Amino acid sequence: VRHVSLLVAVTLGLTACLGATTQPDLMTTLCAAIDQAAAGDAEAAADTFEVDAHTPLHDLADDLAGADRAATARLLEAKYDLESSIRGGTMAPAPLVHQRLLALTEQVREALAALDRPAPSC
Amino acid sequence: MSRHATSAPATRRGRRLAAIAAVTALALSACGSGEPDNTTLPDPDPNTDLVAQVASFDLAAGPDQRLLLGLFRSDRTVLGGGSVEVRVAWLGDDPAAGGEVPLSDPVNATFLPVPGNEPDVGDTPTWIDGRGAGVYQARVNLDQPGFWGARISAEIDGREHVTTTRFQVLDTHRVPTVGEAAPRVDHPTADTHDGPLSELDSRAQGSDARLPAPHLHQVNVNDALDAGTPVVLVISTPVYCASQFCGPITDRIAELALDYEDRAAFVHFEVWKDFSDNELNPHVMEWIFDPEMGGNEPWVFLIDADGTIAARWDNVLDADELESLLQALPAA
Repeated sequence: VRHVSLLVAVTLGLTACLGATTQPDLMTTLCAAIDQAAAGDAEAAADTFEVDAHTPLHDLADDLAGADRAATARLLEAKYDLESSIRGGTMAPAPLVHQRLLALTEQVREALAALDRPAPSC
Repeated sequence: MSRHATSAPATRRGRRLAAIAAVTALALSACGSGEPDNTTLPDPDPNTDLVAQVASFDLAAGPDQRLLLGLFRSDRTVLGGGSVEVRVAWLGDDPAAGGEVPLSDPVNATFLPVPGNEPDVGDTPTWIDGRGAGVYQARVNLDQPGFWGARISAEIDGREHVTTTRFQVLDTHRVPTVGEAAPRVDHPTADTHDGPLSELDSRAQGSDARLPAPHLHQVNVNDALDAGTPVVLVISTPVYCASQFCGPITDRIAELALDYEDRAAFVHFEVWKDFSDNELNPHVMEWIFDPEMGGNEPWVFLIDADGTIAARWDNVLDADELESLLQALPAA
């Protein structure tokens, strides 16, 4: 079995620029998106996620990858599940977006805990 | 033959690397303060919060190199639309090199949106307020290896903003490049693969996994080239991507595959065999992984019918350029 490190370096440079100080903002953003989806506004929830949560999520995954690969995988898979429900031209029903936001938020809290960072609930 | 030919020893492929490429470190150096990098290139503007980062993966000395620049504000709002002016300068062999250096003639860097994630911007550089992402793309001459600087000037909201950044230019490309023979690697297709489908596409997760773009996993690259068929190869990991670009770019290739299936074979290589175990797919390593520098993704390659790499795009695909090249290919 070949184990290697892929240098998952920077692309736009927007990843990895911010550190732990952004994580409370990430949770606040995700909680806001959850509220929007719970209120039936999947479009608004998707906008909130795409504009304010997506990049910090990549930062968090980047930070976590060196500490816990399995948790990183779960985080990115939950992120992809959400993205697949809000992209591609067809918006999923708000309850599904809500459910996936909740699942993602749980993975974010797990990631924050793994990094010994505050992991507030919504 | 490329450095990544199939004769590469297994020990090389199996090496664990901890090093971070200098180019990455340099690019990240601009992150902390949100201020322009402390380069000694002339005329940095202390009154702007415009920040530049090089988004190219594999810059090497030579003419007409593809320079990608991410431009954003200290609050990480991305700049998009129109074009900006770029001038480059060779700083020296030392990462700390600097001093007053002559700048190249200016070239235009044009906004290149991420396919499928295009922002709503016009013909002038604008802070992107909402969804969307992209980089600025320029062609520059980098006549020697070493450390280079770039001075970027953008007209935003009626005022000129100037920033600078640094980047490393290698002596040779680490990833197979235009004019080289495409590495001949063994790789599975949907028909021949006997492991989890996620090894073919990280989006195929779970017990009821399905390939989201099965038409990108039907053809073996070697078979296509042996038959004289050009190949479009996308190497990406849509789920475990370090950037925001892999999924949309893979989707764009899947769309082009439907439109141009009579011109070329379209193939997707998933980067990870097992992300949790930190295990890359071996055929991907042959293409984009360098023992010294590591690897980056996504990549898109256009391979001629004779097996020569005709074009390649690091990080952000120029879908219009690829499409024009596909249109120039003879239909089967």
